[in-house]
Amino acid sequence: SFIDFICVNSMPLMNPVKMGKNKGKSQSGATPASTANPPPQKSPEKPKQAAPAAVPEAPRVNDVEQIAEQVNNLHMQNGEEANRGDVMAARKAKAAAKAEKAAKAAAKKEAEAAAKATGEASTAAEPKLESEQKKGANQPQGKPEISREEAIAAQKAKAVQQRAAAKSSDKPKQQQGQKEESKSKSNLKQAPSSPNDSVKEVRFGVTRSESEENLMKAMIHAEHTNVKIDIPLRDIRDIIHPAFYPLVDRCENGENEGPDELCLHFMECVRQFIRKFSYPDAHQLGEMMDESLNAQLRHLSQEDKYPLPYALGNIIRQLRKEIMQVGKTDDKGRTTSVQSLMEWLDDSEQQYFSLANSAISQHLQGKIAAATKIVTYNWCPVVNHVLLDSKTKGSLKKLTVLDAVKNGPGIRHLTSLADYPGYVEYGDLTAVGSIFERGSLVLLGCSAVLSSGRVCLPRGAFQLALVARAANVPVLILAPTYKFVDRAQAATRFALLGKTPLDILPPDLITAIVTDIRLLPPSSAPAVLKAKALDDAN
Amino acid sequence: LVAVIMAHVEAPLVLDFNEIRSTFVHNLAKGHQRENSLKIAQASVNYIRKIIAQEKYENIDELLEVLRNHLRYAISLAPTELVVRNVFLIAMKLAREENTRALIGVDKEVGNPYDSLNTLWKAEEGSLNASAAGKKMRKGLIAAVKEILVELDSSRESIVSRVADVLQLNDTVLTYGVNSSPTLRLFLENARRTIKMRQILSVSASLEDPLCPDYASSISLRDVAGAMTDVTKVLLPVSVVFPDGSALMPSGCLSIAHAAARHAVPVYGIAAFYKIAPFFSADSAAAVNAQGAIGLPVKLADSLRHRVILSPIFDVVPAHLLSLYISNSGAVLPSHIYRLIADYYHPEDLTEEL
Repeated sequence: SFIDFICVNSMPLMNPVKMGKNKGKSQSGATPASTANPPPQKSPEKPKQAAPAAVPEAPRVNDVEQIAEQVNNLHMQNGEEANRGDVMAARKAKAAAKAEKAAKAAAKKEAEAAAKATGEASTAAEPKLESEQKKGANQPQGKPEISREEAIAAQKAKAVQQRAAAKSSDKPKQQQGQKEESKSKSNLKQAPSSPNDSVKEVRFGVTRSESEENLMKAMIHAEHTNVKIDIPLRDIRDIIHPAFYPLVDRCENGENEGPDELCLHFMECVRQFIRKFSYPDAHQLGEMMDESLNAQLRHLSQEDKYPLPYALGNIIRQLRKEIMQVGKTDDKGRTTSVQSLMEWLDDSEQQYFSLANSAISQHLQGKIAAATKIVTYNWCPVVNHVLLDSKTKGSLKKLTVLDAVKNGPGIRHLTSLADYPGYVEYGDLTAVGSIFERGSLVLLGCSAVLSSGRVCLPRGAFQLALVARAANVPVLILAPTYKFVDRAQAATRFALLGKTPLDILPPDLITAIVTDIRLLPPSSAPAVLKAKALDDAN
Repeated sequence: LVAVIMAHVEAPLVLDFNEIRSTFVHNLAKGHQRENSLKIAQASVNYIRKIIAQEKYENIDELLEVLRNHLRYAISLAPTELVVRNVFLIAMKLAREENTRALIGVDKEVGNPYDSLNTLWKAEEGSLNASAAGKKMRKGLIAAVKEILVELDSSRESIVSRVADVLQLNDTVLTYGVNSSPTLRLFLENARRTIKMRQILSVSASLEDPLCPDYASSISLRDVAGAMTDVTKVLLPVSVVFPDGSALMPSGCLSIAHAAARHAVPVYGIAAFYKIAPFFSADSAAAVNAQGAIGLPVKLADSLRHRVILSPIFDVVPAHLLSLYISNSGAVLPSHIYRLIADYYHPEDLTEEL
C-alpha cells in the first residue's frame, strides 16, 4: 500500500530488509543471497518475533506527521479508492527507487522459493504472500510509544487467534507458523505492480501487532482453503474496548433495527470510549486515540471482511478527522481538547439526526397533505418521524405499511401511531398489487445513497417500487445527507448488521430523494457529495 | 371430500333436490383449504348432470331458466368462484346447441350466432326460435355434459404434455405456489423427466417450506427482484383468465410479473379451458382471504385496534406482462383469448345479468 512507499522514501532500506532476511535465515535455513542487500543480517530475530510489537526502529518525527497527514487525506472507505491512492503513490515511488525494487523482487522470489520448499500450497501462497508482505511492511512504520496499547491489543488478538485456529482445520495452524517465517522473510516493500492483488487492503493504514497479523493470515488462508472463519460477535467482544460492548451485544441480539439506530448507538459508544481514553502526552493524544479507535473498528468489521454500513462509515470519517485534531494547536493558537471533541460529537449528532429529520419532515408536509394515501415499507425512523409530524398537523389521511413478512419491523410504525384515528392498513409483500389508489405516495427510508443515484434499501422495496411505478405512484426516498456515500456499487454483507440483504434501487424507479437540504432528483447525488465535501473542508 | 359427500347423497332413491344443491354449495364455501380448480369444475359438472336429469322443463327457455337459478344460488354463496360460473355457462351453451340439433338434425349446419349478419339473414326463419321437446333434449344433453367431463379430465394431461413448448435445456425456472396447483406441479415433474433444467425456484412464504417439492429450492418474495437476473422462465398458476387476456393469479404474482418484465423474462400462465371467463369480475379481483391466519401476535391487539390487515387472495396481472397461456388446446397469446370464448360460450348467455 502507499504507506509502505512513504516509509521507503524516508527510512533506510536496511532495517526492514534486515529483519526479513534474518527471520528467513534462522527459520528455514535458506540463504537469501541478494547482492544488492547490505550485509548485516545476523542480529537476533527470534526475540523480535516473539515480542508482540515487532518494531524495528523509531522512525523520524516527520514520518509520523507524513503518515498522519496521509491518513487524514485517505478518505478511504472502499477498496477502489485505496487502490487508486496506492497506484498514485506507487508511481511516485517507482520513479524514485528502482534499484530498491529490483532488490525487493529478488528477495521476494527467494522468499517464495523458500516458502514453496517448506511445502505451502504454491498457488495460494503467492497472493497471500503479497498481501502479507504489504501488511508486514506496515509494521516497520510503527510509532514508538504504542507498545502498551499494542500489548493489550496483541494479547486479545492472540486469544482470538488461538480460538480461531482451534475452530478452523489443522492446516491453517501449521501454515501459520510457516507463514510467519515467510512473511517475516519477505518483510519488504512490494513492487507497486499489483495493488489490486492483495486480498485484504489495509483500510486505515495503521500498525498492527504481530499476533493480529497472524490472525489475519489465518483468516486469509482459511478463505483460500474455503474454511470460513466467521468470527461471531461474541468473540469480537473479547478483543474490543469495553465501550463498544453494548453495541456488539445489541447487534448480536438482533435488536438493531437499521442503520440509523446503529449510527446513534455507535456514537454513544464512541463517547464512552473517548471519556475512558487517556494518554500521557497531550500532543500525541489525538493520534493515539485515532489509532486505538481504528483498531476497534477493524475488529468490529472483522478485519474488513465485512465493510461497516456506509452511513456509519461517513460518520466515522468525520469523527476521526476531529479526533486527529485533539491536542493540536491550529494557526490561531487554539488547542482542541477532549472537551471540544465531545461538544462536536453532541453537535453532529443533533445535526445528523434530529435536525435533519425535522428538515426532511418540513419538506414533506405539503406533499403529504396533498396525497390521499401514504405507503411505506419496513421500518425507518426518519419515515416514522415524518408520519408522526403529519399526524400532529392533521395532514395524514390513509396509511399503508408493508413488510416482507407479517409481524416484521414495519409493525413499529403501527404501534407508534396507535392513537391515530384514521385508516391504517398493514400487509405483507403479497398485498402490493392491491394497495395503490389514485393519489398515493410512497415514502421509503434507506441505508445509503450511492453516488450513481442508486439507493440501498431493505430487501423487497424493489418490488414495491416496481409496482408503484406501474401504477403511476411517486416514490420518495428519505435520506439525511450523512447517508450519501461516495461509492458507485454496494456490497451485500455488512459488519455489525450481519448478512443484511439490501435491494439496490436504480434511479429510474425513484421520483425524488428528500434530504435535509432540499428535494433532489437521484441524479443529483454527486452534487450533494460535493456540497458535503466543501462543507467538511471548511 | 367432494366425491365422498356426493356419493353419500346419491344413495337414497328419493332425492331431495335441495339437499343436492346445499351439498354442492357447502363444498364450495367450506373451510379454508380451497379445493383445486379442477375438482371444483368436476363437482360443478356433476351437479349440472343431476340438475338436467332431475328437473322438469319443457323447452329450451325453461331449461335455461332452471340452470340460471341454480347458478345464482351457487354464486351468492361463493361469489369468487368463477370456475363454477364458467362451467354453468358452458353447459348453457351446450343446451342451446343440443336444442338446435334436436330440431334441425345433426348433419345440418346450425346458425352460429357468431356468423355474419348476411348468413344469419339468409338462415331459415323460425328455426332459431323454435324449441325441441324437453325430453328429447334431455338425453342428448346428458351425453354432451358427459363430454365436458371427459374434456375436463383430459385437460390436465394435455397441458402437462406441452412442456417442450415452454421449457428448454438449462433453464432457470421461477414458479409460485407449487403446492396449491396440482397442474403446475405435474407440469414441472413432467418437465424434469424430459428436460434438464438448471434450477427451479419456488416462491413461498417461508424459506424452509415443508410442502415445497425437493426438486425446487425455496425463495421468498422479497428476494425475487434480485434473483430475477438469473431466471430465464417464469411459470405462474392462473385462477381465472379474463377476456382481455389479463389473469387473476394468486397474490404476489403481480410483483413477480413486473420484475420479470423488467428483466425481459417470459412469463407463462397455466390455464385450462374452464378457467377462461367470458367477462370480467371485480368481486373476484378484490377477494380477501377471510379465513386465513392474521399473522400477528395477540399482544399487539390493543395497539392495532381498528387496523386493517391486508390479505388479498388474488392479484390482477394485466395482459401486457404475460407472454403465453398454456391451455389444453395449445399455447395461446393473451390477446387471442377472446377467440376461445366463442368456442365455449354463447353470446346470449353473456348478456343476461346473473
